[in-house]
Amino acid sequence: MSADALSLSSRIALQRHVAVEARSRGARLPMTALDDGTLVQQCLDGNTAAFDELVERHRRQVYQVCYRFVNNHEDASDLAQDAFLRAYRALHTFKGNSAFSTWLYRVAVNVCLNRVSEKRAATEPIDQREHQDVRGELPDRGVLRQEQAATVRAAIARLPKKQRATMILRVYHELPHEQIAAILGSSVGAVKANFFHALANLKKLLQEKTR
Amino acid sequence: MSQGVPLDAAAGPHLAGHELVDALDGTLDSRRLAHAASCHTCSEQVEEVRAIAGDVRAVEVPEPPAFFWNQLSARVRAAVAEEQRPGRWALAWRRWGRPALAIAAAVVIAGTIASLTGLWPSSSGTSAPPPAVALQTQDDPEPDEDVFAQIDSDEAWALVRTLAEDLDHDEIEGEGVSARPGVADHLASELSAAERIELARLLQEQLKSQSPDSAS
Repeated sequence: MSADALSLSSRIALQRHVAVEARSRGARLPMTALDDGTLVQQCLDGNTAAFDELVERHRRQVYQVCYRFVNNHEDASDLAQDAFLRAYRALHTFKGNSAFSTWLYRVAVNVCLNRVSEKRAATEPIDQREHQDVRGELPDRGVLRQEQAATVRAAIARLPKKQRATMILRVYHELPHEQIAAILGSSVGAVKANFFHALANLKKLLQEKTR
Repeated sequence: MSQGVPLDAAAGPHLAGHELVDALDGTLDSRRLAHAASCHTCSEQVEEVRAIAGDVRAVEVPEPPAFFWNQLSARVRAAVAEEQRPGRWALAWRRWGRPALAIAAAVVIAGTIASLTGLWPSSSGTSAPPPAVALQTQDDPEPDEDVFAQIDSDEAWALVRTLAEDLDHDEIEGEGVSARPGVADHLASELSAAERIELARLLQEQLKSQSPDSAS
């Protein structure tokens, strides 16, 4: 019988069996086959390659959350690097009570909130947004879309810190309220209230802009 | 946007803020959903928040060039290479276990810092040893990464950090204490804010007592 003919559950069972066998014979599984918790443990045991794998898995989400706070590539990449370094330093405090990604979001959001306190977010100048794909759009529509995006970004940048973080995590990262509460260290009720107030404030800010 | 409570023609109060969020998420309970459907004010508000959330969602993060991701990994790898291996610290903290012991170790290292930076004479000298330290020893809450945010803004701790950063780590090892770069922040992650302040205060006291002004 070929491997293709095996059902999905049989293939998963087979993979598990191979992994257990390999482990029992002292063979090392490739990093990509390990879950985040195991990688954290390996990292704490001194295997820095395990941290490389964690960075590779989570770099996009960390960069994107940073970008949402600062709205420019330079600062976002600095913040992402800082977030990973902070995570590395604090790795021994990760208890595995939540998913590693939740914990990492928490580190990244704290880094961003600290930074935005020091420095008002600068919106990327229009000529630096070369990576946006506006091919196939009429020129006017592309410019209009970029202007609208800049207006919304500027309005989000004016929100109070917690509202801003809630908005970013809820709308862009589509995290459930419970996870946002864990990241921000607040209750689900507070997250919903922050989200509502963020929407209400955005409405006012966007209306001010169009007047 | 109202926060709810006043009654409309339809049964029940208007949707509160959290209910508008639930309506947006599609998790509003059926009774309140029925109200929202029959209440002009509420249905208008639900549409408003939906429209704003839609405007926000439409703003994309520009995709960085493909090479950026490997570049970011390389930058993180280089920064991490500058740090000590976390395993050493994790094992050390686990070995110390109780916060009281961690605090005692913190004081030993702070003592070494002070000794090496001349805050108080080393044990080979004739002077009295560092004063006994009365620090709180109750169990601390689990340290987490928020601690680092607190440390960043902790002015009292800045002294300990500055002293630690100025240390010659080979010299410290020679004193029989394992202290690596980042020691102050690692210590701080195990101490409460009150304990950090107390440790910083002790160092400041020693600093004052060793300063030329205090000698006169």
